Amino acid sequence: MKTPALIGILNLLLLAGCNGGHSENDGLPQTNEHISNYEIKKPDHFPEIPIPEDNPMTEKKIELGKKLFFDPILSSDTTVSCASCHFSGYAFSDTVALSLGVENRTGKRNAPPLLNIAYASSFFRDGGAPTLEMQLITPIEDENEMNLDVNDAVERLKNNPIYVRMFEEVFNEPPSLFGLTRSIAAYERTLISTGSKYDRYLQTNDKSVFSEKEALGYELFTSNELKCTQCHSGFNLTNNGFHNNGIYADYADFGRANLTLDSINIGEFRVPSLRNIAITGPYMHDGSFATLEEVITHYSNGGQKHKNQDSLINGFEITQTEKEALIAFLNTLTDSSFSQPLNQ
Amino acid sequence: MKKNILKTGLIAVFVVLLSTVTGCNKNGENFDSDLTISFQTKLNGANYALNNIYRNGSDVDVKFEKFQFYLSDITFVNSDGDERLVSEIELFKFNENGLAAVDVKIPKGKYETIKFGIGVKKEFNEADPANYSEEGHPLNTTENTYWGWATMYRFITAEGRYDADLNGEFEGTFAYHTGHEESYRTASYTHEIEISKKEINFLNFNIEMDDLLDYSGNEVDMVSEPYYHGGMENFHLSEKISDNMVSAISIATE
Repeated sequence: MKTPALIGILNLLLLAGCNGGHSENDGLPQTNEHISNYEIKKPDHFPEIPIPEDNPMTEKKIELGKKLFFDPILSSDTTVSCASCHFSGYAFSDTVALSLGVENRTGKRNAPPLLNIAYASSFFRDGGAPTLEMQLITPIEDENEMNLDVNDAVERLKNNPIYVRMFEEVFNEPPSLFGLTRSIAAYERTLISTGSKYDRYLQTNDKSVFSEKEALGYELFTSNELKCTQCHSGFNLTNNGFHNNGIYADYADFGRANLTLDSINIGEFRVPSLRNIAITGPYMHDGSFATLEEVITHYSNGGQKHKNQDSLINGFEITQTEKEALIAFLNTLTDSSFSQPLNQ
Repeated sequence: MKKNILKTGLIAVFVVLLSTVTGCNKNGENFDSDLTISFQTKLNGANYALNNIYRNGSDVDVKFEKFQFYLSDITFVNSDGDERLVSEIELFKFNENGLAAVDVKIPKGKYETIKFGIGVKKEFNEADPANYSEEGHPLNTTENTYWGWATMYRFITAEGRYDADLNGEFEGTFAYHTGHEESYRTASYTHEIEISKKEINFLNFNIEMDDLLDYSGNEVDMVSEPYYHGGMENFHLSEKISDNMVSAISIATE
């Protein structure tokens, strides 16, 4: 037997599977760009941005993801894109309580802002998806949102010469679910908001950046009486936790309990980042509060006393002047450079 | 001389690799025998074809229109207690005759126990479905078994219609999509089976469809609770059907 033939047989044996069943690593797609060539700009007071190993940031991938994000091709009747409910001019949130999907169908929850989504550890209001990539499947398929089977979405992209070229350039293969989810997730990770007045304070530790009213609001925000920072903490003003903040005595939407299947989690939803909060209303998981004043009033009243209501929600005294000061501080969290309408 | 040493060395490497690469277990057995695992839907012991009508214990006429489920970690155990994992995940999709089958590879030999998980095991259920893009992979999204939010994969899909008035009009629909890690069940069956290498081997299971929804003491009231599709509300339906599934499956002995 000749040596090359022997090696050939060895290779064949190595390629042969042990059995005819299916295993975890069957058909794992390959990406054309394994190494990140794109660095997300962030200031020093922001931590490193976690990037998944199977989705390195590259310029072409981000370009593809941005195009897909703004393209209604991913909805059944080609009228709704990701950007239809995540407006760039409003920190990638919606301006209505419940977004409208295809055929003006009403969604079930308020569309969350996508700013700094790269730092989130789970997704949806209840944390129902563990990665940004996996999260993307649900709004595309949800009958009240884009209402398109992801397999049909991929087929559409395969029939579009521009997307075929772009996917080939990035993933070295035709459009696929892997590429679709990786590219949009990569684009969304670039949505980093760091340019607020509050950031200038974090960078300098100089309270003089605030007006007198804003400074009073900051004191209230960080006070033991209001306890805002018990949940809205850290650089991104969220502890990434799930809490029942008592907006209902009886919740129609069970929230986190839909994952844990435990009634003690009924009414728990993710603590949102407060960055750009002035322009991301309506507020709460269902958009039930139209203004920041309503939100503060809710907390000062101590909630609706649901049995799972977080013990931190127990009311506080606040004057109208203090309320206005607190709102003035919350306005300093707006990054006007981030919240500009984008055209695709 | 050097050429002969090289040749002998290569052959030795070949023999070692041959035994380790294709053996797949410490006994050097090859997964090179064919086995077809099938499930047949039954009703009171007789074959049940989808879309056929039967009357359940609550005097409701029922017909199943779609039925499929996942099995994880299909494993055969021999008399020495050695386990042979023949597949980590399979999707059994029933045709109109109520039959579903998959083909696997298994080492020849005698086995005494067959066990598997009913549903998608945690490791796969929490994984990204985009990783299973190989055509024909049971977890490929083209199977339309992935919901995503909260529930991830649908373990058992049982859909159909019912006629509660017994007037011949099937006014109601039911659709049960079990899911969540808490709905995963394991089952084990003592059954002697000898696998030969020369021919295709068969292992046939039955599923009593009446037991699936109406197992005594664990009945599903499809008229008042016709749907389960993930989430906490009505999760007891997912648990009931998952428990009933274990009871409904038996090895075909005829």
